[in-house]
Amino acid sequence: MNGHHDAETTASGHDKVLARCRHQWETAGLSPAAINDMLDELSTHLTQAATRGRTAEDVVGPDLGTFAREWARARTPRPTRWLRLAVNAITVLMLLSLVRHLILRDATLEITPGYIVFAVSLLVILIGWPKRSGEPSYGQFAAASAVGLALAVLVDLVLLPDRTVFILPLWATATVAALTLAFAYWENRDRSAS
Amino acid sequence: MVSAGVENSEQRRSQLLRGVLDVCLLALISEEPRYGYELAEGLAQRGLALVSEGSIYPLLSRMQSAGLVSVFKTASGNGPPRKYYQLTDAGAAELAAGRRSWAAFAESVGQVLAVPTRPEPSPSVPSRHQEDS
Repeated sequence: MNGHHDAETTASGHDKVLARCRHQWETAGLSPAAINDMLDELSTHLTQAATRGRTAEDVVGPDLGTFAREWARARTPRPTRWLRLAVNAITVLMLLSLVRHLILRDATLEITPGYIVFAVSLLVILIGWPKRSGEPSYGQFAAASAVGLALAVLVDLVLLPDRTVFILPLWATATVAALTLAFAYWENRDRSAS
Repeated sequence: MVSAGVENSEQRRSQLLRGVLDVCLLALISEEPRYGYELAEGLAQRGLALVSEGSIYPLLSRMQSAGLVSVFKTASGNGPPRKYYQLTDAGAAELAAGRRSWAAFAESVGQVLAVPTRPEPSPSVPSRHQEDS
């Protein structure tokens, strides 16, 4: 009876470990095929280790998040992650620029120092993030945008008011946005297929 | 209760193993294709138990990306299919290089850590105590 109960408790513990890893790997942007491959491997290990009295912590270590992130990094080459993040950040910038074109009903957009600060801080924060905790979630993306926006307002209203660095035409905004969106679509489809 | 000495010894052993874990894994895989759990077991049977067994997986993924090992899957009676790792030609070359560097490193460390034999004091050289007085 106790043995049956212990087995159920162990299986439930394993399910929790596998669920957390799945979440972490999905957040890291790994393909479903890669995630299933890794979960199969981990599940086999946890089950066999349990038959020898080893706990899940003996397998994944004291910090499950660190274990999952380390494995995710090993599965995704760094240049690919950086490229994906850079393209995501540029896509967001171009979409925001399109919204500004529409709101101002203007075919040209004055790019101010604050706009450049916003763009650079978004890129730096988003590309620097994976070093610590895998790829950013939507919440982290929003936090990075908020920080960038605050810096941009500070620069445009206080430090360098009424300055224009260059003029961005609508066609350029639309072209870059279309290219980055196409890349994101292609890259996502490629990852799903692999 | 684990004494500080034993704890330090285990930490040192763990750190040393971390530095050569890739070569150890390649050596085990060179014996026969193995899956992850078997590799952890193989290390433990040779007295190289890992603090967290799962730490082999990121390493195996990197070795696969680098072309040092290739993989194949076989169905298992109960549970998901097992992913076996086998050595490639590049992996065999890496293992040979790893073995050479470990042998050279172990020899150097051995020389440094060898228990020194105290030399006999030479009668012509005065001892420090005699010089001071």
